[in-house]
Amino acid sequence: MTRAEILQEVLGILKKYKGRGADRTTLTESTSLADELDIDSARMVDIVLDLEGKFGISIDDSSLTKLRSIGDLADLVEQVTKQQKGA
Amino acid sequence: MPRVVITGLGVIAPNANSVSEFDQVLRDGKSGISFQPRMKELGMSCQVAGVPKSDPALLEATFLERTLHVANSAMVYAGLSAIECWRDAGFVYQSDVKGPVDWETGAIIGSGMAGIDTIAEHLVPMTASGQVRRLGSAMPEQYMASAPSAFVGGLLGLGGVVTTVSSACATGTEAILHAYEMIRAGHIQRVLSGSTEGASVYSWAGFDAMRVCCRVHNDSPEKSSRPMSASAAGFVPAAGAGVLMLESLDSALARGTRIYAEVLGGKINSGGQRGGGSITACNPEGAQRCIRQAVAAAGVSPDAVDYINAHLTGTIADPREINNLICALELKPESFPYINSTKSMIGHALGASGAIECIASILQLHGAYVHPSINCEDIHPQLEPIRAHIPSTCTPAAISTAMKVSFGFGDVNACILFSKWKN
Repeated sequence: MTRAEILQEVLGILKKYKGRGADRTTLTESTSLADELDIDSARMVDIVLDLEGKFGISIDDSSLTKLRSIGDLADLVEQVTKQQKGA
Repeated sequence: MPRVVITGLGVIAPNANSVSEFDQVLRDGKSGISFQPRMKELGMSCQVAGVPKSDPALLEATFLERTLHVANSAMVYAGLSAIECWRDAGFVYQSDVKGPVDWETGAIIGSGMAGIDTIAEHLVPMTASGQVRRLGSAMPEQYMASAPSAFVGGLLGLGGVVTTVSSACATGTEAILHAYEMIRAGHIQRVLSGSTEGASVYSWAGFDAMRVCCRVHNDSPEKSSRPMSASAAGFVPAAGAGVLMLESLDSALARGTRIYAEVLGGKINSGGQRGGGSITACNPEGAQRCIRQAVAAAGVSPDAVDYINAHLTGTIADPREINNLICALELKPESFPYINSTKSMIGHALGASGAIECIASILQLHGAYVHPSINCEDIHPQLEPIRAHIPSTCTPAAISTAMKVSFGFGDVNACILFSKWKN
């Protein structure tokens, strides 16, 4: 899966977590999950569960606190997929 | 002490998804009770209920997609009602704009068992099957007792008291009285107050097991809720929410907003589960004291009450309730006020009933009518002396003082009086 394909899937997942005002934000890899999409730390748990389901991977809970931007989510998926599937 | 008025209303009921719809169906005597296939599948004896009709367009226009993922039915009903009430009171809500904190408004939104669908359908099965990790982040916010008020507080940015009260079927009326007392004491200017109850077979199953729900009208749902009828056969469970904006008169006048009614006062008490009372039955002395003291607190004489929205659920307790009202008000049958049961159309919305029925009371005061009490053509023989005071059709009436009574498990009682607002 290419980086662009991963990003597309990540954006699809984020659609149902975006908060107030997020529709007026242009989404890029540097978009802040908390400040621009109004996603709090509790909801990161749900996003990670969705990523696990979508990509068939298992994400360690320690990753949760490091996720700040859309790019961070894509990085995490790339990295874990490589580790767990060798792709 | 500040006078307290009502400046906004919001409702989700089995027969209406807005206050204007509710006003119309009350006048029309339209039942919102329907057959529930799920209750039949589960082998419940009662297979009818009053369930609000889901309106996807209303949900989409009111909530963000992410909000609906983390809200059970009691929270959604409370949210819809609160937002309608907020707007009705002249405030602005936009689903995609996070407004500022309103430090002068709070929320006291009660519930009987708001999170039971979350607990029964998600928390318990997933925990029991070892899937705790996959529960996600949104369980506690849906099953905590204060879920309805917390949900409303977040939607509207409320910075005053945000809490949930619970006193079984007296919850809604009690919540409104707590809001009244807080404003009277000068603690706050405005409180969104009321109650909500989710639509869940897991809530209704317990009552079905008690044999207190109607089981003889599964093929004629609209006939099943029969308060004051000789053929009443138990209550019909229901769901929904009602929210009222209680506001100090000074604040309402300063904002120049429309006023529906004034809260005159009320009383909350318990019969102590003595003198014939128990956790499921009412001590008549407690109920009568509650009504008498509510009238005194309102500063009116009993004969000034010209309309009663009774608790009347369609069980064997109906004649006892009427007797308590007659004894407490010390009125002869011929001078008894108009009386009806909103539950005849919507069933018993448990913790939400008090608030929904307070809204019905205020709509009747405001619109100068008394709604029909349906399904009591065959009136209970003990109630024959007051038959003339129970409207069978919508009756134009210039009522000016309304009383709402609610009674609940725990032998708890609540009574509130409203007066029509005259400019």
